[in-house]
Amino acid sequence: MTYRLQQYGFADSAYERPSQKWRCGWSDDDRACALGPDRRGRCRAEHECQPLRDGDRWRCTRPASGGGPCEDGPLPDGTCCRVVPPCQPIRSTRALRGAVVKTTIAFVFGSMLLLLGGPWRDGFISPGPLISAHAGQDCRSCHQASDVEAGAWLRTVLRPPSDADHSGDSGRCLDCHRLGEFAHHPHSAAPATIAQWREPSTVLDLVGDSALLAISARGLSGSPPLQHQCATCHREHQGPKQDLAFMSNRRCQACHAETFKSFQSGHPEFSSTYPSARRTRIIFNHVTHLREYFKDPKFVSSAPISCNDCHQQDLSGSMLTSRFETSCGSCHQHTRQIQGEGLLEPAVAFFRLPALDVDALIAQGIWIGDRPWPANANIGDEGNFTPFMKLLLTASKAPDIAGDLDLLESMSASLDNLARDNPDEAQAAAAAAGQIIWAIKVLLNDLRQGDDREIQSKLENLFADAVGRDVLSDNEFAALTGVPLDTPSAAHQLLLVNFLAMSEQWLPELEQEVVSYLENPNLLTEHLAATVEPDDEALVDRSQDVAPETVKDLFEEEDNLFEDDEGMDEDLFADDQDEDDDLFADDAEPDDDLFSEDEGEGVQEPEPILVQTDSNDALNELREDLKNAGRWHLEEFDFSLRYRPVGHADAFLRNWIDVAARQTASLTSSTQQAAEQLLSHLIRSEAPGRCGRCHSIDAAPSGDRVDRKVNWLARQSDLTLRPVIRFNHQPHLRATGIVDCRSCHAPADAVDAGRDPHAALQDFQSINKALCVQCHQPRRAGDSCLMCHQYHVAPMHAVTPSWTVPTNPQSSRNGAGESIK
Amino acid sequence: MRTLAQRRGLNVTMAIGLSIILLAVWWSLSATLIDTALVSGTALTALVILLAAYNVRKKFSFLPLGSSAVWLQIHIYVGLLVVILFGVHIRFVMPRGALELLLAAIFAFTTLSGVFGLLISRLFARRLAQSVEEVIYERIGGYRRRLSEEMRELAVQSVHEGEATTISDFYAARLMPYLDRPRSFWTHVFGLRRGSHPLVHEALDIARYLKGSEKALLDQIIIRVRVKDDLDFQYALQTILKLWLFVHIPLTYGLLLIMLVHIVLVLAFAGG
Repeated sequence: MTYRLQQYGFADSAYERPSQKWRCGWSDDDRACALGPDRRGRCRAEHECQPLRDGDRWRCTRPASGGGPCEDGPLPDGTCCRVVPPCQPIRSTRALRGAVVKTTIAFVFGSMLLLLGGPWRDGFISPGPLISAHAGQDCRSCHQASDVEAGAWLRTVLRPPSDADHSGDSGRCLDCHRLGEFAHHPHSAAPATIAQWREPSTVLDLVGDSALLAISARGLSGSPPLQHQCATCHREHQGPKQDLAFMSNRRCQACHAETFKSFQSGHPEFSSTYPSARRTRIIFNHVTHLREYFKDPKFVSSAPISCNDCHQQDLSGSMLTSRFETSCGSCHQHTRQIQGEGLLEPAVAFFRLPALDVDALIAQGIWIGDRPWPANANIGDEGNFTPFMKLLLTASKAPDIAGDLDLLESMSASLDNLARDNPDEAQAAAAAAGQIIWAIKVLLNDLRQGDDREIQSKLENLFADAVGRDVLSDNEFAALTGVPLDTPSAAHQLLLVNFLAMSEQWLPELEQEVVSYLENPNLLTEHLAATVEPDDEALVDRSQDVAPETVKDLFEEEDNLFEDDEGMDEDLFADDQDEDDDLFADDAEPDDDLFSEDEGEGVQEPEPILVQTDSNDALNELREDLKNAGRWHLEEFDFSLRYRPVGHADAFLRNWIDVAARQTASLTSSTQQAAEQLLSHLIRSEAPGRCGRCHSIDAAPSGDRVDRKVNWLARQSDLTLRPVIRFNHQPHLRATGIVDCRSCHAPADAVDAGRDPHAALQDFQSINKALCVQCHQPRRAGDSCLMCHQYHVAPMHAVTPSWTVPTNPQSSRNGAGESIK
Repeated sequence: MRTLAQRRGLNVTMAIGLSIILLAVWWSLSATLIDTALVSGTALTALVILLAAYNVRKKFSFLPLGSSAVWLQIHIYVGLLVVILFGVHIRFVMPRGALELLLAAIFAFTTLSGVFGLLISRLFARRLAQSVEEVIYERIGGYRRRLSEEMRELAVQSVHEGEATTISDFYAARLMPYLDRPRSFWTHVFGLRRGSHPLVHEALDIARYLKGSEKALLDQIIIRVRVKDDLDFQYALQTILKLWLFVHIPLTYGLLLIMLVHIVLVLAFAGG
């Protein structure tokens, strides 16, 4: 017999509604009422049915599943005769589950409120420990959202900060990691630089071994965003040992149009000049030194034994060059000078009364003063004007002579040759020459007006204008005069006294003439000079003629080979007193041997012209000392004020070369032209000091101008610089198979050494990729992009962070922390 | 019309295919400067909401939102996909922060409870179908009461007909406690029973002491003991089938809530 509990069918079984929240309390007793509880769980059953009136009778409506109409039927008043005892309704399974869900939600919600609003907030929401370098910092150090209460986070989510201002979390990163103006640009490089890097990707890029890589990199991401947040690459909260700077090779190629599989396979070959991205700052030919000079018996004892004798690593593993004194100095002349043996340099003419075609001026009725113009005023190697004069005249308040100089040049005329066939041209040339002469006179006269302090101030202002600065400090002025800094007050007046001496000796009526000229500039042409004969002694004094050839011979000294000069301070006006002190300590004493050597060549060294003033005895004494030491002196034979540089890194030459290089980018074309002439004059191969033979000049176009920088030093260690390619010598020198530097740096077979400071020089063979690939493979030394390339190429200036240690968690969020520097 | 095997094969193939596509997309995106965690997190949020919508859909059964069976299939396979996506999202590394760890733990428990539910809904359904009679869970209490009443009547009847108390004593001593409430819950859940219920053996042991009419009554009692045992079996398995949702669904809502906190935090602290 089959026993069945459950009957199906409308008449046999009640309809179950498991989705209802309540069920009859009698259901577990197998006598659930048909009506069931209401939605609020209240029992609704009083009788087994609700009788239905049928005419004048009541009819039982008990359902078939409950047994059908009862035998007794409804009572006369229409109520059911079968009373159902009330029950205690039971929650359905679904209702129970719903209650558990609601309880859970309430619990989680409450817990979140408690955790996010309580003192545990920072610890609770922190996604993990920071790297050890950031240890000790709280959320506010990096996250803007930590400044506000938890409720404000929703507003931040709904209205995120603009990417453009970078005032958010990335801005806080940069508070410590300063990457400059373009920190958020790719590679932190300027847009113009990035534009040079970016190349349009082509379909061909997607073909080949790295097709999938290329598709994934650019096909999905499209063009890289213009700017990045720090967190795009640097993922914090990954633990103290996390490499925050890690970037996968594939990620590097997200932007780079040229994609490849690995360093070994597909990486572009190095440039033909690698590792020399530029010429060396100091012009030095390793090949000739290694193959010739170091083997010369004269120098073999001084020659370095290994590369390390001249090159040392800095902290970043870059190889630097030692100072001049400890490397080149062992062989080259400068060292002997520094050590006191001395070597007389040819003097450089600073200011000169130019040679003048007096006859032509007289013929054209041009008045240039009542006193005679020194007849033996000469044309120097550098021309009728010294380049210094041109720069100073350009900067002075004297009448502007740029137009006059241009006019003479356009007519192929010069101050010493004003004669023209065309009478109009001859007149114009003479008038221009007159203007130029008067500009020189006005300048000299201006420098002697007033008391000593005023005159000094004028001279300083003149230098400042020439240098392109508003004001010069005492040190700066002293540097431009090449005077030792241990006597600054006298040193400042030295050049002034020389100018005074120049004007009083050679232009004694200067003041009266200039006054007359300035009162009536028309005197230039109205003067009765036309009545003066060309050989008038009042205008031309030929008694002091000196043969120019003799003068030239005086300065034709041997071509001294000056090499590297590492020891100089790069900064133009930096305090180099120590170096100067050394120089002057050695050179201050008169070197009789040197003078006797000159005399032996038949050249008479001119006597210094001393200004006899009551108050300047000490100054005259200094002038005498400097003259004897080979510094400032007046030369009668060509009416010039000259400076003789002494030793390596002469301050006067170095600073004026810097000034000239800087002023070549001047906004004023006349100043620019004058500066270019001065620079060319001072760095020419045979120039006094021979600076240009070893020190190269970097020229960088900047708009319409060219910025020039004189490389006084070899490459210096600058750990803030972050070049795209980085190389650390340290691990390579420890690597197996590398015997010495020449394992990688092979000297070039033939080198065009040259002496042009602007020309490139490569005296080592370039290094190609194959050499590096020998070790840099995945299972050997590694071939990560970041192993050799630096992402942030902008100089990074790490700043000691100002850490805030909260006194308690609550006050931390309220900004009441305690700052520690 | 596809067979169950065909449908399951198709679904599994689709799930594996989608997973491979998902991993390939992640691998590709990791080569870009796009924040892969943001992408995977967004996708994860959308899929978790889709999974949670299955429970909501049950509340709106009157709406034409597709059959529950289709939703269940989607729920199962999307659930498996979400597990992989979650791994991608956390880069297959255990989270370190307290909130993230809590979120990951709740996700794991929700997933495990879901997998458990999937397993028992497959295994228990098969076992339930093998029982003598499938009964509605809500009626089990009533049926148990009915069986209790019927056996009490049979015990009383045996006293009247056999003028002996052998059956009634057996009823009072052994059957009354047995009928009082569900028995052998875990035995039924784990399927540890081999053969008939021990009470059946005991009933058969006393049959030798009974007369013919009493034996007929005892047979009726044995039948009801077996039905009661079957009822307990139904109760045990159906209770488990209903109770796992008491874990899975509350965890889902808890997960959604903590996920919301996580999203707000991530976006607020992503900070530009």
